[in-house]
Amino acid sequence: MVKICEKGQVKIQQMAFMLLAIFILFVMIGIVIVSSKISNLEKTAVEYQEKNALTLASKIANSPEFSCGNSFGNQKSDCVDLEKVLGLKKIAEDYEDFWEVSNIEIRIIYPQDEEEIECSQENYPNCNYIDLLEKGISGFSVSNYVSVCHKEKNINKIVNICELGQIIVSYEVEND
Amino acid sequence: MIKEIKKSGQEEIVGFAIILILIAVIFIVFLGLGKSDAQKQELEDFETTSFLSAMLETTTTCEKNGDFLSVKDLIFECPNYYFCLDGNNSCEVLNETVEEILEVSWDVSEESSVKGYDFEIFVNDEERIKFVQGNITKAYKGASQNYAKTVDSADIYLKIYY
Repeated sequence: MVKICEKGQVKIQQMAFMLLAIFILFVMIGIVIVSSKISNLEKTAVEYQEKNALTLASKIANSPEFSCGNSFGNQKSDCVDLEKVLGLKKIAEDYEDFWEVSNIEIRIIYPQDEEEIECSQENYPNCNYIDLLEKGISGFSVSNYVSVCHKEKNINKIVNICELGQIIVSYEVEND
Repeated sequence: MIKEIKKSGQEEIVGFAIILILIAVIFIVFLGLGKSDAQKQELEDFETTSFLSAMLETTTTCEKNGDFLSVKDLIFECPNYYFCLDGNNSCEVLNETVEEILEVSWDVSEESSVKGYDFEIFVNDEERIKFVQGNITKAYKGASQNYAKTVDSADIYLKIYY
């Protein structure tokens, strides 16, 4: 009788250990899944932020203050009118709160020049970058490819010249 | 007595098998979760789309009737064996311009995040230009554009590998 009782106790103990082991296993698997989900969520949030930032660069390039509109033939997207931007540079500080960015830089990457020359009314169009708010690149920055277009005189004809450029937008991230 | 021992042994085996099946199911679920993440390797193509449209609008050195032709114009002039005002072959100008633009825009190296690119231009379904640089990986950003001019049609494809 005592033997049967002991055997039963051993069985119950075995069962308890088994249940504990399974419970620990489930908890461990749960931790792995939850941590992987959290890291994925963080990755998605970063991707979403990056996408938003890229959209910001494109949004600014396509805004009426920058875009080529119909000035260079048909309507072009991601096209920046260099003359407009030069004009805008004079009053860029007034737009600072409107854009909600710390700086906007437009850089011509093709054709490539060895020397870096900032665009001004005097040297236009023989230059390769324009710094709108003159604060340099600070905080986070995103860039997107754009056409940088201007008009040039070729013999007796005014021709459209579009170069490949990048619009670099820098912004500060507010931490809540 | 022997029957009881046998029954107890069978119960243990059944319990063990259930636990094994349970662990296998959890493992499969876990693998499935991992696989769904691996399939999401194709990244957003926002940047490549902007690059492609900006590149096609870039003015080349090829002159025609007082105007400088864009990369997009040259894509349609090249199959007609057009020669630029300075005597250069339009196809050569197109090749050189596209190659230079790709080189300055995408830094392909082991240190860079860009591992390679694949650029193709088809005119009337015939391959005219193909530039492949670096390594072809599983994660890429892709963009395509198509244009039509009179009877010709052009398809341009770009894949940037990361």
